[in-house]
Amino acid sequence: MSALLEVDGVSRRFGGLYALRDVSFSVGEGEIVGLIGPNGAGKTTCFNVVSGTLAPSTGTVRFKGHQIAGLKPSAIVALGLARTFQATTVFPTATVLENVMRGAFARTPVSPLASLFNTGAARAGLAASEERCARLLERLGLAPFRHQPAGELPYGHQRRLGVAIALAAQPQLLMLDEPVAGLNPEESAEMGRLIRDLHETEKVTVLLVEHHMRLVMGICHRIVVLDHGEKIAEGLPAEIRSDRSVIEAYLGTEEEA
Amino acid sequence: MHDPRLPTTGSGRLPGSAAGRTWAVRLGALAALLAAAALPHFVSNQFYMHMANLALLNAIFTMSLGLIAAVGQLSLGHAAFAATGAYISALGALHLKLPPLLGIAASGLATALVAAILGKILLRLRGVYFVLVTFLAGQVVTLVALNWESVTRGANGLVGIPPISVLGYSLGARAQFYYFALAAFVGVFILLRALMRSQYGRAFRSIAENIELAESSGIDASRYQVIAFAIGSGIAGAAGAVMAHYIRYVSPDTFTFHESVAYITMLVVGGRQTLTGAVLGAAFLTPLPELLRGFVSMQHIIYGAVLVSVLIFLPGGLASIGHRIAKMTRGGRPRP
Amino acid sequence: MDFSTLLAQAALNGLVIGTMYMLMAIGFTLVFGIMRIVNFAHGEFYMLGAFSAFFTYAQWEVPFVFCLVIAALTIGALGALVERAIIRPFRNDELSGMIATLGVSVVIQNAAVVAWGPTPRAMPNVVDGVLSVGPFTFPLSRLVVIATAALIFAVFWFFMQRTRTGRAMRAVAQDADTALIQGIRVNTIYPIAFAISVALAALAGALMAPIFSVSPFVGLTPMLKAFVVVILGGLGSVPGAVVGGLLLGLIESFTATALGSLVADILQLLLVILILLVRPWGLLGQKEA
Repeated sequence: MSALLEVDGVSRRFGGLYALRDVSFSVGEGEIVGLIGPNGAGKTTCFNVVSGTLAPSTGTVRFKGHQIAGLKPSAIVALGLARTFQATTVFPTATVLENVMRGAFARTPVSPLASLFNTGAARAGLAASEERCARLLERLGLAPFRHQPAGELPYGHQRRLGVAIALAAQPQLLMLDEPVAGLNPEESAEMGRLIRDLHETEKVTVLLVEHHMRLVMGICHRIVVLDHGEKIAEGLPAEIRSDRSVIEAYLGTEEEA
Repeated sequence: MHDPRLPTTGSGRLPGSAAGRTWAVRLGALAALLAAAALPHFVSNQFYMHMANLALLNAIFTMSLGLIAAVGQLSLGHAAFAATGAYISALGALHLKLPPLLGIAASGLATALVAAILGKILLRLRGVYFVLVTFLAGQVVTLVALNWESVTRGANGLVGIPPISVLGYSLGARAQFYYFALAAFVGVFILLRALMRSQYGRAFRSIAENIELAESSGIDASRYQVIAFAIGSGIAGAAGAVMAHYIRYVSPDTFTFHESVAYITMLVVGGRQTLTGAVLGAAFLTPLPELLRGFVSMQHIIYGAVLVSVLIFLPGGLASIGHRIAKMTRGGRPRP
Repeated sequence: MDFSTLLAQAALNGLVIGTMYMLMAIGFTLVFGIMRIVNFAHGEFYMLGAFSAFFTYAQWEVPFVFCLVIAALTIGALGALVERAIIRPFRNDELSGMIATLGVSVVIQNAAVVAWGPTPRAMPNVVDGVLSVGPFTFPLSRLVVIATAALIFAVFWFFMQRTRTGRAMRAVAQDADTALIQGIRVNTIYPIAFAISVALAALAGALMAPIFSVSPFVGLTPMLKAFVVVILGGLGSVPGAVVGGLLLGLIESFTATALGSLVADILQLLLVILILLVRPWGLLGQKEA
């Protein structure tokens, strides 16, 4: 299994504090990897560094062999790495279809200039892109809402639309930021099925940050555990479940809470 | 929750009715254009012609400001770009005998270039810093115009700027200039409309609505913000030059911070969401001060009060009124 | 006049305008830090403060200390009212809030023209006489301005550090979400913050009224300088506003003595743009994550 994403010795400081310290891990092609840890462990910082929202203070991030640390998010998307967001998942006033069309921006084979002059090629390219987006919505069960403003969808659907927007960029690596946060058990289970389903049929590699242990244990092939900005464990779900340091750092605090 | 500004076309929208509406809009636009073209034949009052000319130019300023607003940025230096364009074209005509049309084009390109460079620097900044710096940049332009007396003649300004001439035909008279202004207005309207409907427009709206998500969708936010700022400011520069050749005079008082605020007011009052909103705002607010001639301060007070009231009570601007009425008659829920 | 006298004079003038910039910038940056509102009407409250001092001191001959108190209280109350009626609807909309303050600025300024006319009015000094130190003489009126401004700042600092409300305001500025969870009420904090902010502007205006003239248009320059200061010092940073304000006053005074005030103004604005290139978050501001 070749590594699609390699995070190597990444640190990130805010002021004098380390949010991440010398973190290394990799994600192989075709894997579903979970990134977990207690609150404030640096998961989100790590996620933001990989997706380009933050630059690392030191260390390298390679995607398909390209050094991507410090690149703009838009450039990283073009390479085939897309992410979702925890809170602001959609464009609220645009229609559902338009949301996905925006997600497909980097993969729409139409130069903005050609679309300005509305050339035949541009029209054809946009039509093809729209067709593809409509199929994607169909696939995620959002087709009935395609002309509704995204902000009017129920919360669970908005989360799903967030995934659709990311998928529209046709990523090889899909990064999900707490995909089931705020969802009820039923919706969470549904999201878990969707992720596994996408992994199987679209052959997309997944890296997800999540609090929800059952989801992580249920669908991840491998788990990386962060605590206080450092990697404290990495392994199969069964190994992580019985790892002493993890239990102390993570499961322990959760029980207390 | 229902946002009243949004078209709530569900999946039930029939393609046929949409097409019908498009045709109605096109017919309406054609009728408006014909009426506008015929205007000088019915209006003999020079003052009204002057108002019409100013309204057309203001509409161009406001639409171009609207383009910058469409990527979620606010420029308080819009009038400064107009001033820069006006001085460039005026100086070119006075000293180099540059034909006004060429000067106008050069002004547009030069101001667009300045904006692109400034934008590249500034757009790394968060929104608020951007606004503050466009404000300060506007002050720099006013100060330079006042103090670089050997070139700008300071507070006296440049006088005797030649009128625009097309193929040797001078457009000095108000009714003749009107056709030029109308053509420029229609040209800018069509250009911006095409822009907003293209992939550029898609990128602009994405950035305005959710910049993080836009970036993560592969849209290079700073690139498109610079593009919008450069095009918007370039249009303002060219329109400023047109104004200079129309009133035949430019001074540091021609385009000041007050004008920048006036364009913002027109944009907000007309409606920030659509191009028609900008046009409505200019059409509505340009003649308003003339009702209060001699009471300059009262004009400003009314402008300010209208601006604040519209922001609070009609955030979608005049352009949203039709929509609201349509919604009410359709039996839509009243606004919560 | 010899060189050292010129320098001493430039330094004193620099401190005087520096304290004014400081008071303006603190209020401006405070409101931004707490409410995320850029108040384009900030200069108009300075102007109202100047007029308040003019009427109470020059016309009604109220002792100057009370003139300051009156200016701070009346204009602070007006500020709270403006916050309630015009700023509050835009709590989650930075851009619209900013545009609304532009409208407020236009209305206040022109209402002042209608009410009091556009002609500048001169106001007598609060104290006369000079202080002689060795070869240098300093007008007492200027020294009073510096001392009073320092006192006002001390009171403000004490309020922010030692009172419940002050601490609550700092908490909101630091981390609004956490502060809200801890039960700090925005609906009381915001009007107070806005009132304090514009009261500081009014005090600056009242203090400067005898030095500069009083007219409806005097607010623009102080506001412009407040912008420069907060860009230098970092938007939202009170220490940045203090250091930036004093520094800007001194730099401006010296460059104006050497090069003329208009050139100094242009240089200053270009300097700001240059600094933003290198440190977009301000000289003393914190880099955002």
